[in-house]
Amino acid sequence: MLLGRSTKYDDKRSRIKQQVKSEGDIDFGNIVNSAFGAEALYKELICKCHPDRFAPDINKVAVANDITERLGKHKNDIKKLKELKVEAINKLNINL
Amino acid sequence: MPSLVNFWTRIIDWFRDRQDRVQLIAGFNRAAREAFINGEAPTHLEACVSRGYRPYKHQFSNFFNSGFRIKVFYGKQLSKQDTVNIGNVILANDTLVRRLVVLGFDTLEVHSDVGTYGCRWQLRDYIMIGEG
Repeated sequence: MLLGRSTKYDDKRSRIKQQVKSEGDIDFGNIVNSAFGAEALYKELICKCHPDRFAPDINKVAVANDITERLGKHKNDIKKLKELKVEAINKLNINL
Repeated sequence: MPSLVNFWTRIIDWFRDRQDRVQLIAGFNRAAREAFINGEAPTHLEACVSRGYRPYKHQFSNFFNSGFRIKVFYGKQLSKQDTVNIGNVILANDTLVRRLVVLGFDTLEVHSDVGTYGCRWQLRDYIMIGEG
């Protein structure tokens, strides 16, 4: 009967469990692909999108700053990096 | 009587968690196999449950087998950089880390199929419950 005793601690624990389990599906395909492809793509993008490369053009420097900031945030997520690559090609007119 | 109900609820929860763990590992292995077959991944990754590392224990940890191990079928010893890269990709996915923690895992291990060295991380350091 002692095993069956419910405590506030148990309630909190099960609430956190339910909350985390209801966060949705995990994209394992993206994780596996990121493990092998993300680093190379990140290095390529971070070189090509560096704000100093667009120095005289203030608008492009601002866009490059924004993109490099997001690159750092998503450096291990190949799906997000591919989206940023398209954005960089369109907004910064660079060849990748 | 309520205590008997709680006891019964705990047993059901235990089986449900166990099922979720199996599904998580099966999902990872399925994705890794597909990526390898399609040529997107150069090597095959396989996830399995390991004993874990006791000092990394947290409040959700399983008593036995609390490690999430990724075995890389590389054919030779992986470099430390490659091992760390694979681990970082797993740890960068907040949802996966949180799911692993609540399902009773406390250690992430990455190692090659050859050699004796690998890396391990304490999953508790990478959860952000309540911050999102």
